[in-house]
Amino acid sequence: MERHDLFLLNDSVASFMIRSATLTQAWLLRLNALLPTLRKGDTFKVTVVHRSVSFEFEGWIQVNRCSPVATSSDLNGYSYLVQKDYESHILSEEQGYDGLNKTEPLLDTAPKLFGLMPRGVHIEQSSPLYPFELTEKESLWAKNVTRLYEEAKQNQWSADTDIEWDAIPDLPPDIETAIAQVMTYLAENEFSALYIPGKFLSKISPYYMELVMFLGTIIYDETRHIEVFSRRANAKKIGLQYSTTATQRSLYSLFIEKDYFKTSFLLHVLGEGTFLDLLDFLIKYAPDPVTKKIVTLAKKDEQRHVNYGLVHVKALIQANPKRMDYLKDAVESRKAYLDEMNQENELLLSSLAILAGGSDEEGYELGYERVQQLKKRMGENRIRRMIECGFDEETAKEISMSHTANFM
Amino acid sequence: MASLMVGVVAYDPKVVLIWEIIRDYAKEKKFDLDYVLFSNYETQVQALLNKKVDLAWNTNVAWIRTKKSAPFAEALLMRDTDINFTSMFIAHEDSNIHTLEDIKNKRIGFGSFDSAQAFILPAYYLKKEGLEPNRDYTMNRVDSDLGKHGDTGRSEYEILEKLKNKEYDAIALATSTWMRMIELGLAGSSFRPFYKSSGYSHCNFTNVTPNASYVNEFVEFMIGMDTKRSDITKMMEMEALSTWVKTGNEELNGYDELEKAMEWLNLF
Repeated sequence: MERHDLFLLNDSVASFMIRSATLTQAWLLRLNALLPTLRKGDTFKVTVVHRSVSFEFEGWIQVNRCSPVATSSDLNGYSYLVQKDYESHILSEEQGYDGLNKTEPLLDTAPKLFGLMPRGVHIEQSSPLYPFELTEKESLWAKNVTRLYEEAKQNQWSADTDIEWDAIPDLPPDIETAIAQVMTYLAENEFSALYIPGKFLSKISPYYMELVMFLGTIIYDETRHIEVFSRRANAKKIGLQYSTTATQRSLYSLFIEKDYFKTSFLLHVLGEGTFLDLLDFLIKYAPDPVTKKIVTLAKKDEQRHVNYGLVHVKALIQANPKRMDYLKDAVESRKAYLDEMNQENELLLSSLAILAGGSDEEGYELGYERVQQLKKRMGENRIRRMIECGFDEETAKEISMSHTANFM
Repeated sequence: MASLMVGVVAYDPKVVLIWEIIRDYAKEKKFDLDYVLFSNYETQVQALLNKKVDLAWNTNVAWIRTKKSAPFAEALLMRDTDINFTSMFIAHEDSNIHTLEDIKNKRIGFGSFDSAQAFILPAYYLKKEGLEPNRDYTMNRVDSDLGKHGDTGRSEYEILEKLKNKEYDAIALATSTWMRMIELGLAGSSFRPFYKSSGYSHCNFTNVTPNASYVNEFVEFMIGMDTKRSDITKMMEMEALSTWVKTGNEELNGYDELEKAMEWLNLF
């Protein structure tokens, strides 16, 4: 084939006519910006009108690791068919998140060069290597995570406008004190539920962006819970009450866990799962409608977090049932740490009894009984959730027995 | 085993960053390599000839000088961008220069006298066209950063300034420098390129010890760099290459004109 015939092949990606008398800054930008959009071997056509620019353009070709496939000159100027000689980007075949709940990450491992970017972008080869530790889909992903993210968006509520703070009635001091103590405990636990996903978030490859975004909603959910529980405790003169070592030791033992899968199980399935029963109990026995609404709204959020944990853990156990032992070890080693001292938060349990029965002798006995039933229900539901995750009943029972008496 | 010592000229602070990456990478690959910085190529060439360093990362001018003193010297390895390096002549639009012939009786600005791209070769290209300095045209030079062989590009920026001020009618510089100038917005609309040279060879890693055992190891190490790693791509971007290339006959021929040019200018 004659060299000039190559121009007739109409497979070049772009075609430019440079009429200016010099290769301007603007033209240089346009040419430079064309390169990343081309693959190795792609060609494009450029015609320059002025001889002076032809020198510059030939220089540009050389400096930018391209080569002239064909050149010609006629009355119109100097024409070049230019080929890009290197690959600058790793192309993505994925579209990425589109808000329509239809996409899912295709790859089992996040691309090595995947940085702070949405899935679906084409990555430049010279992009820096981020030290993300969590890059395996299996260890992170849950099928329902995109849907849960959408649900989280739709169910956002405001600590200001959705709660009628002025409508909280003046309650008898022992009831208000019990509420303040329960709220104190809840806020402590919500800090745990905020910090733990936060701790892992920065280790997760953004390739799994729906999960990252969902964890973002968890973080804001927990922030809102911390706010409303603290505000409820402080709504009356009595204010925030006592933190206990029992609760703090339990939260600490969860906080130091380094494994995402174990944490997901301990926090979302066992911890927040148990919390659902506690919040149900409070919905039933809260002494005023404002407090009822606070815990009702918080429970809706917690349910989403639990749903992620259930599907996440279930998929991992399905892929390898030996992981049940791994999770059992996690619960048991936590128990070994917690067993060093009395684990129950007696201030909390007593406050719950007062809310459920009353502060007089008879009422307190009744309340105590109701708290005992709550603990039993918590245990049964823990086992049910674990079975839902794929645990056999025996293992589920053993794990439930070993779960922290702090509930979370 | 003693470290393989590579001499490099510190023409810019980034040289340290580049060589720290290479050294770290070598350490990781259990390749015993270190580098020594020189302030200029003349000292580096001397150190290479005296075996104070095992290899030197040389400009083309330093390479020709080394070969003059050590005829058995070998050029081992280059950047892909060292092949087909070119220079340009740029005229001021008011000077009415459109071809090389038009420079008769004009004031031509060149870069440092030890810069192959901004002085030695462009002046030689004119001579080949029968244009003798200070007979057919006025030869002006800005000698800055001598010893760095034009690596800093400073003299090229200085002659551009003089072209802008019409102290010169045309100037000579490296094509890559001109591209950078356009990018920086320094190449105004009043400049007219009128010549681009054919390709010549630029830098190489030079060895002067015959049959040295480290030669192949070094070449294999450099060529085998994992270009998928971001530290390596960063280094390559700073050093302006996409791949290391073994110096073959064709690349060696790319130094022939420079040798003739340096002889003509008495630069040995």
